[in-house]
Amino acid sequence: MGDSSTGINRKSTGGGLSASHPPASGNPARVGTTTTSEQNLVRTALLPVACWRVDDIRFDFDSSFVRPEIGAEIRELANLREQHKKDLGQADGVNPPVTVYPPLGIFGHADPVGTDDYNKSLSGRRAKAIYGLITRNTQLWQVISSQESWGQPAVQLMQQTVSQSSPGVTPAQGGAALFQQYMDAICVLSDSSGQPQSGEDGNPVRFQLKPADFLAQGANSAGKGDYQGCSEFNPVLLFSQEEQTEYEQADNHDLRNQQNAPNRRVMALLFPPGSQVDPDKWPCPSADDGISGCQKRFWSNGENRRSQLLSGQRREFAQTKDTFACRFYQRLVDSSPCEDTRVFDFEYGLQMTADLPWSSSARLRVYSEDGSQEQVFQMSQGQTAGDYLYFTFSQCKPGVRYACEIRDGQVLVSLFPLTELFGLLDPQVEQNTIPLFPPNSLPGQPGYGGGNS
Amino acid sequence: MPGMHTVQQGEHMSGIAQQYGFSDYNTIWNDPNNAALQAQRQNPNVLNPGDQVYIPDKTAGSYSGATDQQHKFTSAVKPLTLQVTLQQMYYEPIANKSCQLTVGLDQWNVTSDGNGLVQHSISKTATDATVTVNDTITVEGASVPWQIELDFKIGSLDPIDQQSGQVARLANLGYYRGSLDTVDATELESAVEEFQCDNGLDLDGICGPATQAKLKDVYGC
Repeated sequence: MGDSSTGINRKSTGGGLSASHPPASGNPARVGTTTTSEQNLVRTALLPVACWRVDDIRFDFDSSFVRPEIGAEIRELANLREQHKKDLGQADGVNPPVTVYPPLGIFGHADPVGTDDYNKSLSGRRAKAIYGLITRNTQLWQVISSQESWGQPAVQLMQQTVSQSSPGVTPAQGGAALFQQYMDAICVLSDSSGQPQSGEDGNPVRFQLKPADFLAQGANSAGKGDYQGCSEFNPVLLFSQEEQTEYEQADNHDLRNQQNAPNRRVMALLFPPGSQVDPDKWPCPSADDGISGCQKRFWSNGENRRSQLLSGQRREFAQTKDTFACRFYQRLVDSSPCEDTRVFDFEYGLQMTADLPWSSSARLRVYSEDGSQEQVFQMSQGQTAGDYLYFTFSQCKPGVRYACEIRDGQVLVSLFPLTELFGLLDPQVEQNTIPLFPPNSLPGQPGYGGGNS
Repeated sequence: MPGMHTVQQGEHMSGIAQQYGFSDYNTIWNDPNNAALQAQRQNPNVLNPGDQVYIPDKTAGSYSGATDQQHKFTSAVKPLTLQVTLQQMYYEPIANKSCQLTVGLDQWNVTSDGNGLVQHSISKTATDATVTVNDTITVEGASVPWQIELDFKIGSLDPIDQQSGQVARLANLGYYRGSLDTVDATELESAVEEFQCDNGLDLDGICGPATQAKLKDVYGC
């Protein structure tokens, strides 16, 4: 589902977003000829075809412990790989047929609170934690967990998750054995109805990758080219000066951390099938290295880009494309839907007709597919304009599908089915309509959707 | 009759010479009336659209030989060649691979050398070429045939002192990803800084004389 007209296919899962990147322009290389020895050096470019973002909510605070709810995002990563794979068969001189999947590169990001060095390490650990999860590298988790002292609450949560997902399995006391059970439990793939998928052997189908499924194919023992931390160098959101002053007060640190959540993210980029890099030639330092390798890749005004605060307004990457210090990372995600973390207000207009089928005590309810958002309005909260009664759905997110209904006593009227509202925000169109659903089973003529921001 | 020729996009000296009936482009290129052009462009195969080329009179050559013998005439002109070194960004040269080079209706099987260089003599009027590399990749531990296809516009590379020439070279090197016809200023700044960073130059995002010289050197022409 989603925004198929642009080929972007955003899909939000409550704790992240997956999407295809807009296709790159394929210009023929303009080359010169020679009658002596001049040459042309032509390189095949390396541009991601899709992105997968895991939000901060899937981690414990200031930790790389991955929470079990990430299963929803893992399923989308599996889908995204299927969407961008390449099948080779007899026509390509390949027999038996093989499937070539898009290799991944993982990039962790921290928020601007704390030092660059601390955040380089933290963002690197979060990237490692995701890499470890999907490759079942329990050793990597053992290293991170001891560095961060994950502790008993994490152990209990892991044991509880294992018990719930695999009845009959006794959760291990801790260590690598529990990590393995927990990783297996949260990487179970489900079908469209949410039931666990069973393989031919009757066992659940689990998502698991190998080091060879990453960009540098595991060639470097520290994961250089496969996973890395970008510290706090690439914020998608910078507060206004006034907000910054307010959040610096000790009482407001919780609010600050909450508002900074979009900056704390882990991105996986999917590169065209067949792509590979040499770790020695890859610009990013490894997750364990310090920040100097990152600084080399900064824009000449990189420090300014990532730190300048404006009076009275925030700076957002999606809007201005100038908040990242790292030029190299920006080159990978310039047009990535996953770095667009903006939320928006959506106005929905009910057309008032003489045979209004609901009473003034009816409630209008809008909710998100992932269940994370719900807003309920009384009819009296609507704003009248002409023949329309407008309601403002706030904090809508791209990639999330919302549905809207009216409940009047026991009578339920579905105004529109699960619909991505962001895709309706076409500035060229004054009023975008949302199809009614189901069209003929509704009492009366209930409404008309008009979107604008 | 002598005259002036205005260079169009995609033209090079060899093609212009052929158009006016000269077998050796040097007759035109080395004509004293083109001295200023030669000093400015240096490379007879990298001209700028709008450049003015003086076309001299054709002078008849003479040769004396006995009438009862066969005489073989061979042109001394070096053939026009396309030389492209192929690399994968952040990886290796596409070295020692069998490739198919298609230029217009001509098709040749060539093998890239240890540095990824593919070369072949081509028609002076060719405008488009395609190289198909027969590479392999490893999937699940097994080697699998894998084709890489690259398209070229021959003779369309503008001189290094022109923005269009800088953009085209940066694009071929994998740095610039925008349109070649309508230059995206932000993308160009990013590409220039990335090139400067990779080549140990001071970062300023401007393709000035030092960056141009390095770009020409790295690119190869």
